[in-house]
Parts: sequence; structure tokens; C-alpha cells
Amino acid sequence: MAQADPVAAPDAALIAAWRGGDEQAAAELVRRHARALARFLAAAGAPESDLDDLVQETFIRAFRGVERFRGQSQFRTWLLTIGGNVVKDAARRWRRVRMVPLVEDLRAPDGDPHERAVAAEVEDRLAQGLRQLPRMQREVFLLRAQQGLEYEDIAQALGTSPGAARVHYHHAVKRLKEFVK
Amino acid sequence: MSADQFPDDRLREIAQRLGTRAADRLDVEQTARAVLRRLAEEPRARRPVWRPLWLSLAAALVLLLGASLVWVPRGGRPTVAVGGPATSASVSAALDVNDLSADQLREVLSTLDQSTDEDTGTLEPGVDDLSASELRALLRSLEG
Repeated sequence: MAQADPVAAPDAALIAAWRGGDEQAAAELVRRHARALARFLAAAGAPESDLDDLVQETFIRAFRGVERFRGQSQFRTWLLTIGGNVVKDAARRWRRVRMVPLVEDLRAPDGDPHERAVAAEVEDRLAQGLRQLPRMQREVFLLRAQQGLEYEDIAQALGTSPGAARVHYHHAVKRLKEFVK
Repeated sequence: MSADQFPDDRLREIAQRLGTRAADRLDVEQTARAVLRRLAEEPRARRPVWRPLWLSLAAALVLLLGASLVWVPRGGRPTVAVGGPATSASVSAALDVNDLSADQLREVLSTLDQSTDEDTGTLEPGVDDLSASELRALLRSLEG
């Protein structure tokens, strides 16, 4: 039987192919979702030096536990929730390391230096605020505000109700505004 | 500006930028290769559910066996095992004591007494233990 083109195949077909032992299907899933996952992990507090390892770890956990993926949510949503667990497990290591926030925008070659500095400072304050939120609020906020997911999908992924996810989001927004105002 | 006045859209816009540059620096092809290599190199951990399941089954089996030894039949009446372990003809029978009449109970008890006698054993007297008159009487009986 001819294999489907991995690039054109939907996630569900790639997952089925990986279950059948097709490594290229797994590689395509990594290509498709690695950057979104990396953004989520970085926003959740992962230092850039660890980012590649954490992305790999998340995919490995996902591929090894793919039997548990029932397709009730999008693969990316499921992947991001696994990423949340990976960040939680790694947080113990990070607490022992003094975190020096990297003001990346200052290194950007384009734009007004003052505006870049202000934007970087606001981002840094938001990142600090996110680290101080309870995990559920942080993940709901990131899945909603950063990844653009619907409350139904967030609730499905995090094992809560859409109403509760909405409440977590609004609590998170209220607290984060205190940091970035 | 108070926190309440900070626009939601602006907050969302900042959130969407978080981690973008770090993610852009990620070498996705290298990450994909590394994931495949690690999946191939690191053998899939044995499913932890098997051991607890196996242990649970074993524990359940032990409990079942234990329960069968002290099983109390319907009505909650105890069972008694009767039998002499040292006798070759010992009979092990499970009797429901409450079902026995007084006579039957006495019979059981006499059986137990008999069994006890058999266990302790009654020695036949030897020739050396006989007195002279007893020995003469024995010889006479043998001669007819």
C-alpha cells in the first residue's frame, strides 16, 4: 500500500501512521508543531538553553503515550498539555538556577531602540507574572491568549469545564494586568 | 494607567510574542532527527501498569486462597475439621457441628478419644515383663 504524503496528511493520519511504525510520520508531526510548542514552553518559563531538550522530551512522551490520545482534542492541544507537565517536572531544576531574563528585543537589529526596550520590558513583566500564576491559570491563559484555543478545547485538554476555564482565564488576565500596567 | 484599563487585546498581543524568538531559533529539522534517534535508542520503558496489575492479581489470588481456608458457609456457622494427623487411617471430614444431635456429638467425641488413644499408642507387654506364673500360664495355653 502506498504511503500518504506526510506533509499533506492531517494529524490524525500521521498519528495512525506512527502507531503503525512510520517514523517519518512522527518527524512530520515534530516539524508541524515544534515551534508552537517551543513558544508555549518558553512563555511557561522554560529557559532558552533548555528549550530544545524540553521540546524533544515533550514529543517523546507524546509518541510513547500516543495510545492515550483519543482524538477528543487536537493533537497540538494534547501536546501542549504534555508540555505543561514537562515544564512542571523541569521547574525543580530551574529553581536551583538563578534565572537571568534575556531581553531579546534589545538585540534585534531593526526598529527604534527605545520602543524595543519598552516592549521587551513589558514582555519580561508578563513572563514574570505568568511564572507567579497557579499552573491552571497560566496554562489556560497561554492556551487561550497565545495559542488561540477555544474554551471547549482548553477544558477538554486540561480536564476541566469550559466555564471553569473561562474563570481561570479571567483571573489570570486580571493578575497579569497588574504586572504589565 | 490602572490595571483595569490595560486593554485585553494588548495583553493578548504581548502574550503571542512571548517565546517567539526562542522558538524561531529552534532548529526544527535537528529536533525531529533528535526525537527519532531518542525514540530508537531509548527503549520504551516497560509499562508500569503491568507490574501493579500483576501484583494486584497475585494479591487477589492470595486473598482468595486465604478466604477459602477460613470460609464460613451460609448461616455463618463454623466448620470443624476432624481427623488424626498421625494415624494412617485418619479421616478428615468437615462437619457442621450445629447440625449434629447430642448422640451424634457424643459419637464424634468418642471417635476423637479413640483417635487420641491411637495417637498416643498402647504398647503390647513383652515376654520379659511377665511374671513366672504368667509365663507358665502362657506356655500352657500355647501347648493347648
